[in-house]
Amino acid sequence: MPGWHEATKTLQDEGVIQMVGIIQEQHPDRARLFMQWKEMGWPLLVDSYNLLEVPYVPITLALDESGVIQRLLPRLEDEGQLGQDFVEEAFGVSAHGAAPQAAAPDLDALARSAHARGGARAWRDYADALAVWGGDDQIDTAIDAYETAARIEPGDGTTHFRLGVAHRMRYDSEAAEPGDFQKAVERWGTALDIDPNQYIWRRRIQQYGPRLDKPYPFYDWIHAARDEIRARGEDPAPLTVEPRGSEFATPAESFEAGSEEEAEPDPLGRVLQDEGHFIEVETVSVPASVAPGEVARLHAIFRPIAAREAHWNNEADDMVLWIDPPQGWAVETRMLRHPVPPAAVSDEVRTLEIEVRAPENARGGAPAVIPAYALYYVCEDVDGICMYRRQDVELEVAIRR
Amino acid sequence: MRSRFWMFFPALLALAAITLPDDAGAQRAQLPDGLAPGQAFPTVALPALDGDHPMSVADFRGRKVILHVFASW
Repeated sequence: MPGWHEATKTLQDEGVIQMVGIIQEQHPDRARLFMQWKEMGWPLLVDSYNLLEVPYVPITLALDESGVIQRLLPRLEDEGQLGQDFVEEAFGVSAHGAAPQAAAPDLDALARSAHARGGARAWRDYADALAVWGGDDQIDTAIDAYETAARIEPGDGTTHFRLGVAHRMRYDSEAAEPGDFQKAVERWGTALDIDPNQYIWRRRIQQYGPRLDKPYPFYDWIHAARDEIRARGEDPAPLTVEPRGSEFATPAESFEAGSEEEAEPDPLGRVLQDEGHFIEVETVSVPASVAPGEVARLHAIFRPIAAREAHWNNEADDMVLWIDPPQGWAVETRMLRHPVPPAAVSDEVRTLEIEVRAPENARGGAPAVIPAYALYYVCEDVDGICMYRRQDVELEVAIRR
Repeated sequence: MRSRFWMFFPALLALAAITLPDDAGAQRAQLPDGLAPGQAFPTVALPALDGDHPMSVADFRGRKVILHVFASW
């Protein structure tokens, strides 16, 4: 894509060609940062829900003045400046009528239609409209509508995928509900089971999944981008959700179980338990289930409880998570560390990620539980008492039958 | 006279068929029926990243558009 931008700069400057982007990402503002980095300033539309139903990216198309597709264009690296010959060949002379412009839908009418007709497509259309036109305030209603559509037609992978996108959107918002992230992963997995050739769906799981399944590190370019943008004297475009962990992880060709050199930090359980008074924990398995011998990436997410004004005390050691895998389970490492930030206190969400491999003889049924515990310094309120606490965590992995 | 780009265009298309699927795996998936040359691009309204109101590609009619459907990863 930067190749096409470079090759058509003159045509863009002369107003001959308009570049437009459609982003197929869960977090579209990362594309804004990418555009800033590459100094590309054209308009971007956001298709996190893949309403276009494209099976992969990138796709580059030449559209004529009527909005008609004239050509599927190849990837372009270094072609030099393209001129009028390219314009005539790529766009041709349109004999088609103008494409109609999109109009805001009547959400109430769509809701009435969904209730009256009761079909899966009507519910999905209603949910799609809410996703595009309803804003963050309507995310709950969109999730309900997608769930209804999925219940009516459980074989529709598109609905499952979009429901997963909506859950992850809510997870990243102030309205997050417990389990949203895991539900997103489950729905994406269901969608991919229905259509394993849909690479947009596959990428959404791989973004958070194990290294063995990754085609590339998804957002490793962000550090270099920010450095170069700052070197130009600009402020990098802010991100609403910072990528982390799996989103930077490099692909791996084999699973490497870690050595057991670390000493267990609290083997006798002498550190007093938090028991969820100050820090709440959510765990997510990606993928949502694995076959025997397969690898899952487990996310343990720790949030200070706002109602108690709980916050981290960063003046001492790193937060740690000790994993005690059951017989037959392999882990990358038994001790994970979350470095403390520079500020003396903070209240950020902390996530620790670990990859685990299920035993070859694992049985399906109830989720397997991998015991773990976290040790951290937490304070009860802004001027309150700070404590060293332990919280036991059950990392669950479902085994496919 | 055709530009050098168009002399190599068939080869580029063939190359694209090979290189595009680095995001699509060894078996390239087909484009949806609605994205074939000769058809109007779908008028699906989508949120604008830097705008208050959803837009569609149809909002750019009257212009020659190079449209990139992409992800930054």
